[in-house]
Amino acid sequence: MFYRDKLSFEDEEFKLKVGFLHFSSCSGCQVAFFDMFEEAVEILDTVELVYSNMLTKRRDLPRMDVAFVEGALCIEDPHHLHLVKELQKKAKLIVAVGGCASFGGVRRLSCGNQLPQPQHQSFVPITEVDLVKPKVKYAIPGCPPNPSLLYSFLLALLEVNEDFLLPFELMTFSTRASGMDIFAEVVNKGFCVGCGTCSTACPTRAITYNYECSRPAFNPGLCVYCGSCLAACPQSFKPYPQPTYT
Amino acid sequence: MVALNSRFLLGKYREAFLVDGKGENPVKAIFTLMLKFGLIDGLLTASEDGNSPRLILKAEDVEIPVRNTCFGVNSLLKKAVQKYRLSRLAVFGPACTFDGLNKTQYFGIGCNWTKTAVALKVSFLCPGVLTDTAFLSEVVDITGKRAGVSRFYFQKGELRYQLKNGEEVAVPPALHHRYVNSACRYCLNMAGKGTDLTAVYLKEVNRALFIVRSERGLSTLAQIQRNSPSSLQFRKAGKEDVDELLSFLKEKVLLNISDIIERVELGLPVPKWNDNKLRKFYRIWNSVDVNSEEEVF
Amino acid sequence: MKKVVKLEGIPLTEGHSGLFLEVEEGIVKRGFYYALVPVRGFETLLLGKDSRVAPTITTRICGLCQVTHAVASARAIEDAAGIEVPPEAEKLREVLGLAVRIYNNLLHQIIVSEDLFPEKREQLAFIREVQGVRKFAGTVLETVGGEIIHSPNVKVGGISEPLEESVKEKLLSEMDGVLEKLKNSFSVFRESLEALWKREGLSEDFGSHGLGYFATDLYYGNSVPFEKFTFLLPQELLEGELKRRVTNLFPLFDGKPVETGPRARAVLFKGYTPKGGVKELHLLRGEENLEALLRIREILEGGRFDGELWNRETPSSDGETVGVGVHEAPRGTNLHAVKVDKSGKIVYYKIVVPTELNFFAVGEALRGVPATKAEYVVRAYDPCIVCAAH
Repeated sequence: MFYRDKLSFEDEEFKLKVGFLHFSSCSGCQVAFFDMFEEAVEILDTVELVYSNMLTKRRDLPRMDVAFVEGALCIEDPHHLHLVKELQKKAKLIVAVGGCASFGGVRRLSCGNQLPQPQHQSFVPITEVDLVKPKVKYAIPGCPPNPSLLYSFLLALLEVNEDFLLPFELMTFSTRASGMDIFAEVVNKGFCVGCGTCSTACPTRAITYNYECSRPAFNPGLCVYCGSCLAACPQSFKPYPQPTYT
Repeated sequence: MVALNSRFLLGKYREAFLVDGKGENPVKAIFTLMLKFGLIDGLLTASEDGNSPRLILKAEDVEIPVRNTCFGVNSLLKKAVQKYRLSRLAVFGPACTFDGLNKTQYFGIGCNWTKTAVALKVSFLCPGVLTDTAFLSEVVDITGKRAGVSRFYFQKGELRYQLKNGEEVAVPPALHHRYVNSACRYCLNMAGKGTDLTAVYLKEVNRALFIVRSERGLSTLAQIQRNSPSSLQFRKAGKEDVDELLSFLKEKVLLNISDIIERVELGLPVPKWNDNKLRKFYRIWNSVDVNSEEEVF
Repeated sequence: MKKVVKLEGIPLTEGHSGLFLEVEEGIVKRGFYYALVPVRGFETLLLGKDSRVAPTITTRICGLCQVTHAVASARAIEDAAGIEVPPEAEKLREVLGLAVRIYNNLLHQIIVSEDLFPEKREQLAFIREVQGVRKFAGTVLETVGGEIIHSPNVKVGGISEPLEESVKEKLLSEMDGVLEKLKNSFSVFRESLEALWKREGLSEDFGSHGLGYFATDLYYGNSVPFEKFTFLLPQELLEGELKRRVTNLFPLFDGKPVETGPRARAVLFKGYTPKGGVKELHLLRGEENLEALLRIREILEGGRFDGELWNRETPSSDGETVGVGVHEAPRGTNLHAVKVDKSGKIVYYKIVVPTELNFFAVGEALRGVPATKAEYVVRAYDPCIVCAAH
């Protein structure tokens, strides 16, 4: 067990040490954890929250079992460079939460040249940073990910439910994900069944539905590269226990 | 080893019933009754011609697709769950609709708290879906004349269309296979395994075969009967009623399997995050690790 | 003895920010508060894009008060291109803004609850109560806006999805229970705030300043001339290496630093006489929640929103006219200014967020407080650093 290596299972007192930190992002992913509402309180009670800018009084990064990281790394910001090195040292396992950390998200559009620091222009999702990449075990798509997804994910992480976690592991190897992938990976490959799940998953409504051809219709201008659509598509992966071909 | 038996083609089920509605499609009748008695608070399905998805909230508005052209049902899922905040939703569509829905429920990607929002999943036995233009070309191929399709059904293991001009034609599976949506050519779950209930349309408009798979499906039907004993007639289906479907399914599945093998031979790419779909097929093919788990969320 | 204290990373606030304090005998003589998260460049990345995508992109400036950026952005483009918005759509936007005000102010209460409750059990009980109300605000955001965070339904020209009567009734039916919960949690909050002030030995006027107030409306937002804003660069204001690290601008209104937010709204539109000090900020914010909830009820009860709410006209302007969109965000007045060219492309974009305006106010409020308590001043302003360094 990756985070329980030094502890026995009988250890009743074991509490997973969890931290939240953010690079260049809107904090929405962390807020999405609060949007589990009452369930969020349960979770705060179950795990030990060791670091969060919003909820703990720590200034330095402590050692933690799981670091939930949102946002992309700004390579012009010395603080970020320091933070990513710290993260590599202090976290046993990293989960990239949301589009910006996993696939670049809306940060893919940034081009710098804005006062007062016009040099801030290059943003790299943490799944692309080789220093921490070996520790980035899971990537969660979405802008922001659903509270219900985060809830299920946390439960799966605590129970080490491999079935659930596998696709999120695969997603760390994919640094690009946008509405275009629905076409490249599903429609173009003859896998689209026309169920409409991608259009329901799109947080910006960049994907709508073309009823005439029974295919998704993609408007790239609205896409924020969060990866929700392809992750939701029933044809992109199906590893959950489901009616199989037997 | 894969055996093209009933267990593989139709999946596990508890009971099968021949259901007669009073002058109307029994599937439509159960949804109407369920909405009327408050067993569900909404129905997510498609319009009668199957061309556009529908979210139905009132018993008098109920319509269900009777053509095999049921696309985009899940595109209204977010509206149903996040806007109308339905908590006892029924969904009716082909098996692939439930692939998307089950996935959304299991992972939670894309739509908030779908897990707890669905009360009943009903699929129809789907021979592969077609768009309007595909229907037109298929019908011209079969009959030599242009005609619209008004409904599809199964009779003695044969797929048949009722055309808009009143004619009824048999649709040979090999020909049908060339006109269906591409993804339907790789589908091995036409009977909607993983739903509570699969409905099979029959020649008589007011009759259908209900293949009930889950406890939830059975208890729902029981509740409907209790609430309105006279509106639907249930008769236990004989083995022959179910088995006559198998010949069609077997023929179609064989065609699908040969298409999948062709894909594998050509080395056509699989979707980006798919670590499983075709590999699972290999596994079955090599009779290693047969996963017979079936679960309805 | 005079010394300089620099604090980086203020716990229990959003984002990464810093404090520069000149301290004499433990008392702050001069203070600056500033953002240290990188500039993401929302003003520049929008240039050349179709103006209709602006609300979708700008809402991603902030994950706490998302809708306010979408609304300000849509209003700015409508103003620049002269697009008429159905009045019901404006009402629904107001509802969204008020819902996010409750949602966000209560999040702030959760964040500061770490300070308020020494007892963990009490803190969790308080959070549970508050989350109940936030859930309702989330429901409003989800049904009207499409999603809780980053509402996609706010479009240039209106709201893309009408609100059916049945959905509206469902929302209204929950209102009484929520109001009760909100009142309860507010009284708990008020008590524990008083206890905190006593425990920490803070005076009633702790963190007062003499700046003027700036707000445009009690609930929704009215336009202000954009020329009245000027901006100071950190390079002009600060010294040493901070010049190269501070990532926010310091805006002035009419050439003067101002405070915006719940107190400014209360002073300018409710005739409230400020007592000074930051404690009343917490309380006024709590009162705003109650008022916002009642206002949501008033709007929803007062009209039908099930018709077409979206004027789908393509935005187009001369590329010179500055369109100004103002929205009263949870933290104060949020303003977007935009120029749109003939083909509907964005040629100029500027965002002034309330936290940016409040940086001076925080700095002024720090004057005279004990250096060890400086963080309480910052927290009371509920700064949103990601907004400030958009």
